[in-house]
Amino acid sequence: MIDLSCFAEEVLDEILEILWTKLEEAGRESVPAEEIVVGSGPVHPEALGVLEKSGLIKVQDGSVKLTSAGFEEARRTIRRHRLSERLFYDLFEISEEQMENVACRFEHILIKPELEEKICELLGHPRFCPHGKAIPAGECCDRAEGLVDQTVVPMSDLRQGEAGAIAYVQTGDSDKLKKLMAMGILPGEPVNLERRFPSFVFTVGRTRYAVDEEMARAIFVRRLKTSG
Amino acid sequence: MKPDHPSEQSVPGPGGGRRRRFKCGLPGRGRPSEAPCGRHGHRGPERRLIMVGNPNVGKSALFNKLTGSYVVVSNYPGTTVAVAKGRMRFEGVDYSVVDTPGMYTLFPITEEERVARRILMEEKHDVVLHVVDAKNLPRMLPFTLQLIEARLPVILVLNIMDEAEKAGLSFDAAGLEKTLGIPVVPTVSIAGKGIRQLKESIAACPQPKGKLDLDYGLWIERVLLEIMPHMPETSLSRRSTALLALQEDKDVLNRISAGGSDKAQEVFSALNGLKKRLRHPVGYYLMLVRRQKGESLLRDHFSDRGVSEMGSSQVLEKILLNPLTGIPILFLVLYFGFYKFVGGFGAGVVVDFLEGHLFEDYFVPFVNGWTEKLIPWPVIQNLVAMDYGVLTLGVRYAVAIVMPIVGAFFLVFSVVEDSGYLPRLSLLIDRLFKKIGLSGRAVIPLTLGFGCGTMATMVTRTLESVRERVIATVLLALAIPCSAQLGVIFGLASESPGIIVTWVITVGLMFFLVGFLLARFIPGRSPDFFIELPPLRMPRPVNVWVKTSARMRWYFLEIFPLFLLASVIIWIGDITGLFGWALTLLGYPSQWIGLPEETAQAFLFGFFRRDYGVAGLYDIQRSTGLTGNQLAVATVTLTLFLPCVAQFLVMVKERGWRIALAVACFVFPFAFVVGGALNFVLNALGIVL
Repeated sequence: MIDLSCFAEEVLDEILEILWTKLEEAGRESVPAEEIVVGSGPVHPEALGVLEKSGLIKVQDGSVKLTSAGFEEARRTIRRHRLSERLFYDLFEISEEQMENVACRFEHILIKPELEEKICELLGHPRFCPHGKAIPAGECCDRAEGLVDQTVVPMSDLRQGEAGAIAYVQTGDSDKLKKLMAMGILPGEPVNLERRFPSFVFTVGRTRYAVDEEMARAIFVRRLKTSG
Repeated sequence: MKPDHPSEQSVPGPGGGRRRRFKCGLPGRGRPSEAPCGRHGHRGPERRLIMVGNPNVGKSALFNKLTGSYVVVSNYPGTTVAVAKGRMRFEGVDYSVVDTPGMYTLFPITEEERVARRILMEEKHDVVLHVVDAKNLPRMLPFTLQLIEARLPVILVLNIMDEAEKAGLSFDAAGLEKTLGIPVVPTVSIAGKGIRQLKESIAACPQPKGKLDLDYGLWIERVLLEIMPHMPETSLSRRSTALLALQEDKDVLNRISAGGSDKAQEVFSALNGLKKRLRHPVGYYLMLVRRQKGESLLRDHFSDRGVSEMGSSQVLEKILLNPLTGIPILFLVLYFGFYKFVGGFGAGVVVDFLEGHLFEDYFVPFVNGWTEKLIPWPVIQNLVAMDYGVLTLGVRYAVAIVMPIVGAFFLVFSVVEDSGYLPRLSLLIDRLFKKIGLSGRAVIPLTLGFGCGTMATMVTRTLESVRERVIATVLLALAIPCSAQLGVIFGLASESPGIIVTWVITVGLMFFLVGFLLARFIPGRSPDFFIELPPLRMPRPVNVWVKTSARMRWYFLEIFPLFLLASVIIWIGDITGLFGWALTLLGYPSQWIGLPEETAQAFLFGFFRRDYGVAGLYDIQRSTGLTGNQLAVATVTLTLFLPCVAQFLVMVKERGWRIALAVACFVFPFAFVVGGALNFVLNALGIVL
């Protein structure tokens, strides 16, 4: 028995994904409806109608655009789709032909955000799908980077005498990063900024270090919460 | 430095075959259940011991205690550049001991770390001592884990235990031994505590028990499995080598490429696949896993509920680091340490004794007399003795003048270094130095330049980038007077402080100006600055003595021959008439900047003997009489002028002919231009010094 709801959802998702690829990634303004190919032929106008009613797309003179809500939804769909591809490709090493089929179905299981996050974490917050296309970041990825966290600041922003814990080290310059890591400046370590001028002097654990401003900017610290 | 390779020796056995050495442990008390020590080492009669660890953990002091030979004990990164080797004998067994430059992890970043790692990776060792600062054990344990992972025969040495215990940390060495599966020995290397126990552990031939495998996560582990079969043979385990390859270690990747292009292809594609998947560089994840594992292993065997350092050392720290108080302290150190001790005592008392008395009254006449008797040809006589001879000029200069000054300088420098002041000084001036393209670390070669520019130029190799090294070399050649020159300048100008002030201002200005311009025009990144600040300690006489004597020995081996070479050059210059010609040539620019023609001699000789050049001014002062202004101009020009020939030769050796010549061609006219400008300014402003 074919699951009709799944079928319909799959088609809708595929439309969104195509739109995302063409609008967001290829940078086009709008997509003529004929170009949206689902399965073996151009999309059924009914499918487009469903999406338009849900407020996800706008159809004008035979061309389709995504609304802002549509962009969000498309983004999430692409994310789930590519995460699934990643999962099956990496974990089960299935072939490309099988991947499309399986991933497409699996992405619906990922609708639950907790599951999606867990899988993303398991995969190590991957940045690219097996085809090399970017996987849009999720909240869990941002959190892993501490980007959402307001209390995480570069050390160069700390005031003299402030304490905290190292959140992460900016990975831009690999040599700098390697040196810092090798010296024990790693996430989780408690840190205390002793002075800012003329150089940044701080203590990590029981060792005192001195760095210049540029390096202090690469070390991100989570401020100690003041008791309230 | 190329480490020499062990000569392989296998022992001929009965019946003509070759028998492997299976004796292990104490003679006569072989432990049959123990694996042969020779399995991980080469099959020679001597066992090979290597020491690794961070800088600042007392490795060199430990090396000293094990081998009894002299080595530089330094807590400033980059000072122990050469690899130190020694010998040890314990209970009838000989060991060769190698002390490596500081290493934080198996993945090297600096040139020295690369050398250290190469020794570890390319040569086989019977024992690897991982020396750590006990109170920093949690931070240093990840490296121990790496060494265990590499299947090396490791002993963990918890050094500087006294400070750790004083700070209230507690250790359970026996428990840690069981958990890690390797011997753990607490020591206090400077006091000699725990050394016996350490030697016994070494003699017992540690074998890596390999109980500790770290799990780096699904993706890294899978890629490891893929690439491990393609790894080259090294002294490290396959897994360890593969981990290095994942971090894109240059040496390892080169060896993989050398092993065949299809292997290399597979490895590279696996690496690229991994890189795409991960958000951070591989090393980041590896470090985190090791850190976490280390913490869990330590949980039951280590506690840091200790006191934070309070009291006098914190106050002193604040005083030193605050620029308002730190800079005046620097001047105090400079004044008492250098001006008074090196200048007053070294350049004054000792030199007077050595040159004025010993050499002038005894050595020189003696040598001259014998030379006249033994060598009939005046030309050769002049080579050996007389005015410019190798013995009477080269040796005399090196031993009677430069050595006492440089020796006194090294003494003060070693005291300052052992106290831990130097890193703090470097952080004070880092911001300033950044403007001239250098980092605070350059404070070492530049300060050494005030002692002996030749040695300082050699020390520039500890700077991290070529750009930094070139800038430092140029500034050393241009604007940093060596102590020989300084002494005479201050002597000359002592009557007139105005001259000294003018000199300081002009030379200082040129230092920053040229540095600034070099920083703008030489391509390259601005250097990073990050150092570990070792705790402030009272300088220990033993350490100071060891450091000073090691530097003096180095001086004799590397610099002394250059002075002899210089006398030969002078001799050639004299007999070929080049000298006379050069003198005439130099006469012109000297006159252009308002100085009498005779000062040309001072400039020429300044190239060969920096202080002689300035001292030459004395004679001119007395004979023709230089005005105050002229003296100021002359001293400034002489300082900025070419460095001594020994320093020039070192520049060639360290930076190459092209750069050395470029520097010389720049410095030469520049010195005269500045001299001329100074002359003009003084006259224009109507200043009379």
